[in-house]
Amino acid sequence: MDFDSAMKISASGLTANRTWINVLSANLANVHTTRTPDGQPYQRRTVIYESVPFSENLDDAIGSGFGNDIEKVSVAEITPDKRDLKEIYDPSHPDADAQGMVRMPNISTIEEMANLVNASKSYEANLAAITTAKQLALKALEIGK
Amino acid sequence: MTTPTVFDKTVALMRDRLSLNSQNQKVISGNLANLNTPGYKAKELSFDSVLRQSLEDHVLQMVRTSDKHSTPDDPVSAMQNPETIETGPVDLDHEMVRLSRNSVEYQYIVTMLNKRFSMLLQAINEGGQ
Repeated sequence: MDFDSAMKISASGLTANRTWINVLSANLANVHTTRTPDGQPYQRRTVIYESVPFSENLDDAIGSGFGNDIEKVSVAEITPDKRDLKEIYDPSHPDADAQGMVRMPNISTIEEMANLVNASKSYEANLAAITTAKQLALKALEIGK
Repeated sequence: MTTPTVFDKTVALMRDRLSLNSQNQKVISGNLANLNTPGYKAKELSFDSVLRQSLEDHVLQMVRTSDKHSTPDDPVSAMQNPETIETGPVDLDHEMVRLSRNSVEYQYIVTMLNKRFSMLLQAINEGGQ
C-alpha cells in the first residue's frame, strides 16, 4: 500500500533526525569535557546520512513494480570530528600541562545550535509528510460513501 | 468511441489520478527524508512535465502530416506508468508546497468521485419513480 510505504519512508527520516539530535545533545553536553575513558578530551561527533533504496516487498526487490528507485534515509555512521582540539591557557585547571595549556573539545556551541535548528526543522518536515499521508489514507476510505 | 457504460472514462481517469497522487506522496516523503543526505538528488514524477508539454503542443496545434512523425507523450499513459526523474538538490519549501498540493488534489478528486457516484445513484433511483 502506497501510503503505508510513504509513512515508512518518512519514519526513516524521523529516526535519522532524532539520531542527529541525540548526537548534537551529546556534543553540547560535553563542550567542556577534558576527560574521557581513553584519557583524551571529548571529541565532537558528526552524523553521516546515506540514502538507501526503499524496498518493502518481493516486487520491489526483484526490480519490477513502481517504487524501487525511491530512497529512504539511514544513518551510515557516527564519526569523530577530525578538527584539532582547542588549546586554552588556564594554569589553575587540573588537566593543564607544564606550560599551563588545557586541551578542550573542538566544539562551537553556535555551530551545534545551528545544526540543532536544522535537525529539528527536518524532523518537523517528515512529521508533516506523515500527517498528510495519514489524512489521505483516511480520505481514501470515504470513496463511495 | 466506445459505448458509455455506468463507470465511464471520467471514473477511470480519476482512479488513475488518485493512484498517481499516492505514488507522488511516496516520492515527496523520500525527498523530505533525504533533506540532509549529501549528494542526494530530489525526485519527481514525470507526469507534470508530460502534461505541460502536451498542453503546449495542443496550444501550438502540432500537425502530424505523416505517421512516421513522432507523437508527443500521452499524458494519460504517463499517468498510468509514471517514471521518476531526478531534478536537483532537495528544496524544503518546494517539497512542502508539493506536499500540500498533492494532498488537496487527492481530497478534491475523492470528493469529485463521490459526487459522480451520487449522480449515478440519483439517476438509478429517481428513474424508477
